[in-house]
Amino acid sequence: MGTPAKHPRAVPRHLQAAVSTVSTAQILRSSGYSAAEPTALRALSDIAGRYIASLGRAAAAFAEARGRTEPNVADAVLALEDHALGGFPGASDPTRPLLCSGALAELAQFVAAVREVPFAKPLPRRDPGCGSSDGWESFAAAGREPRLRHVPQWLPCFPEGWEEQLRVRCQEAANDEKDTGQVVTVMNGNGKRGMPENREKLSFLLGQKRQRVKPSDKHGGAFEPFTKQGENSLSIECISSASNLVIGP
Amino acid sequence: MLGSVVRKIPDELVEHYLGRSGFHCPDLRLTRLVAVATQKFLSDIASDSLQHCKARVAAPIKDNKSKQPKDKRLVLTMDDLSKALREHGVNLKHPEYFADSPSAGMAPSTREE
Repeated sequence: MGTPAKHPRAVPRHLQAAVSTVSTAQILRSSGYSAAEPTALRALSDIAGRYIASLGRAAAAFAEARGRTEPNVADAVLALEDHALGGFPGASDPTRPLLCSGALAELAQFVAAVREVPFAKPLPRRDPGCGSSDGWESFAAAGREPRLRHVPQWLPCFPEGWEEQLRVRCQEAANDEKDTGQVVTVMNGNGKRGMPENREKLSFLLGQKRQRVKPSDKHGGAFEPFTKQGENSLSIECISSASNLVIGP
Repeated sequence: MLGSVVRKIPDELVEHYLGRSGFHCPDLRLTRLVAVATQKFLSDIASDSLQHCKARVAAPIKDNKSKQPKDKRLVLTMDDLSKALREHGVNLKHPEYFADSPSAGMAPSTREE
């Protein structure tokens, strides 16, 4: 996003769009509107963001033109005068004092007008990006060694207690499987998938020799039509045994 | 002057947009100045479009019955917004509808097939 080095936390795009939409809605409400089309609201909030960025760009340009990297009040006022498309009183005077400029006077009039209708502060004072996550810290910066050897030190730290959470989740999955007896994919310690016990062992034989056809009752006689065929038939043997099938990766 | 304004635009949002365009200033008063200027800009646009909306409602005055329910609900439409923004130097054009069928706009020979 191009944020300077002092502010490593970048506000995500959707968040700033949502916040600016809320602010625009508040301003519309205070000027008399009771509703707004969603596209119009989004367009106006986007324009507000672009206006702020345009003011900042103009002020930064004025500061750089005078050999400074940080804009000050004079740069900001010049940027404001630049953006006053309808002109402002005193624009024709090139030697006008900046701090008494007409653009600031119009702004002061607006402030005085707004002050007459007091509103409760709509949004609480908050710092986006500082609430839940403090930004990330690399392993090297935190002075910690990563638990897994393949993780380099310049990557951010793992969240606290991730191993515990994983173990707890496996425990819960294993407990659930014992109760219901359903087939649940459980990640064992070695990473292989285990299947529940008491599963029938199925073997498929393609052959002319074997014509042993004994459809077991468990399948409900579904294989009866196959029994009367010739030599080149598929025969299925069902051997029920209490054997574990372990399917590796 | 700045401290008494009820600020509707949070400072963090303003700082974020200013940061994207290269304006980094530790002085909070400058940030608030920009925020107040933006608020003034937005309220100017809102009042202009409100005038457009009311002018549209007031034009077809034939009977008093239809006028009252319209006064209670003032809705910001793209039409009013684009008219108000044009006076502030922003060109906003919004298509009223999109094409109705996938074959709209194609050559007539291919459309028949």
